[in-house]
Amino acid sequence: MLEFIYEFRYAFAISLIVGIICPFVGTFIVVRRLSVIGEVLSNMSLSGVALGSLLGSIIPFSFVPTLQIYGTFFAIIGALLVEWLRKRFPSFSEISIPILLAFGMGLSVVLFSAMNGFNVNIQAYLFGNLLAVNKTDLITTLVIGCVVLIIFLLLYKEFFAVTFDAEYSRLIGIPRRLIQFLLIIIIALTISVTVRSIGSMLVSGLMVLPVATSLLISRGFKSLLLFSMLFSVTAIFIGLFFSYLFNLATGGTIILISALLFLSVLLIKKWGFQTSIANSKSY
Amino acid sequence: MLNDFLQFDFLQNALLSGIIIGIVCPIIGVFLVIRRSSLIADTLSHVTFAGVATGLFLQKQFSFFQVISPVSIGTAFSLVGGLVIDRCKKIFRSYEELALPIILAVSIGYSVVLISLADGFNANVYNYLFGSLTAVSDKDLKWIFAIALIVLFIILLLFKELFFLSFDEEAASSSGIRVKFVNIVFTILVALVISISLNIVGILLISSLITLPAACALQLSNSFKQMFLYSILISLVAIFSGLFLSYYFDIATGGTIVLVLSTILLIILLMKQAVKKLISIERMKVIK
Repeated sequence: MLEFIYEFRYAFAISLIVGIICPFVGTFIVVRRLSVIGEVLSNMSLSGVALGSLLGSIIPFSFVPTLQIYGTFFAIIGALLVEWLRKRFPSFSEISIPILLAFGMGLSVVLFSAMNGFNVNIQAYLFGNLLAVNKTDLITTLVIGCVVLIIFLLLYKEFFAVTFDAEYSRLIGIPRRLIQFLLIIIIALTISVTVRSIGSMLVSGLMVLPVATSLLISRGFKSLLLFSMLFSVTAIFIGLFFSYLFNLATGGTIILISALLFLSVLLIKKWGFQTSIANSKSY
Repeated sequence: MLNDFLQFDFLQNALLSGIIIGIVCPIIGVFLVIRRSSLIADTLSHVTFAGVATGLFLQKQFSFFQVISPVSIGTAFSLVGGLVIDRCKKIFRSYEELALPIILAVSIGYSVVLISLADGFNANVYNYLFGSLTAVSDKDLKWIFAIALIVLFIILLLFKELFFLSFDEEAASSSGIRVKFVNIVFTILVALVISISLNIVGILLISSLITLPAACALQLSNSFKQMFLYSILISLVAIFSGLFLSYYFDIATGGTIVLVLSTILLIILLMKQAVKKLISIERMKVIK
């Protein structure tokens, strides 16, 4: 057991960071009813990564910055495009999401296939490989994770106000658009840093599932945050262990474990609720 | 270039099935977009992927399953999934839209785990995910044709009901249309269409073939009929040019089709904006 932890110490460190920031960001996304936006941003950031690696393979010496930067940049563009498309379809604003989902995926597929077909690369970016991370990944994740957390801690009140009461926040003079834009940048950063370990197809699951689980049991915003972090870190650790033990895909295992957590909380709650009703009836 | 398409069987098959899909997908898409449930196509295609992965896994484990193609198991999954999704939405009363990313993530996670249990990611899996020009065999073509005919027939049969439901569900139900029944039939149609488009465009991109043409047509048309016409026209143009471009440059077929569609949408949106600006400038001149 200890050897296992030592062998995959980078994976464990990364999963601790990711397991904290993903549900943190996810809580704000879910509460603002933007949970589908995570999908769009992750698809867009995938195409950014594809463009980055295409440029990297064309340009011989590597002054191309890390792929995460391309990913973040594209994810931000994606968020802006969502807004732009929403205005273009005034009475069907929800259609902007599937359009951009398709565009991001199509672009990344074409870019990846332009570089000598689908190789190991695209698999790693689609579905992630947490067990294969190295020291550089850990440093990138650590830096971006710290940035995200610091921005959040500094602006917690502002984010909270904008999320729950837009009108009130305007009254007390919070620059709403700036805060919203910052939130989008944070989401983009989180996604592009998580893609390496969980994979772009599964990032939004990690952002949404733990939050959905704790939404079932928590009674306030703070407990929502805490519980969702607890659930996500638990799921990631168990998933990491299982995927190593049975040689399964890491990202998929993590998502399945968090889905199991969700399901069991749901069933326990339902069962408990019904028995309490039955009890109250008997009285 | 064109000779190749006449000469090689696999390209002919791709072209023919492209035409069929290019007609059926946007028809379903128009209904979905008007009903504001365009994300259903995304969800169902991901659920189909879960089924395909199950099929691949079973084929690997039990020789008995060699007979059953993974695609048919995928279709079965999306049929069941379509019926379950509505129930999932009820779990979160105030956060209905949460159900969708959860289903997306869980089905992808499940499929990835199963695939890693079977053969791992090989060319076969990538064909299912992203589609391929060479993936359509003669037998597939016959299936695609047959299912497309059935789907079109049912749509013609239920056209009035679907039309009514798309615009006003409450009025439809009060005027005696069996809303639940029609909805279930429609979900089955979506699942069927996804299963036949899977070979060419791939699971991750099917939904774009369903929603993007309808989105383009939404910008151009003034009536429901026009919307059908425009969306079919646009999707056919995109599929043809996508097939040719992807063959010519040797890039992924499904992705190319999607990029052509997005370019068409972008051009339409920009032109509309330009026209609006021109009109407002003219008006300003008149006022002055």
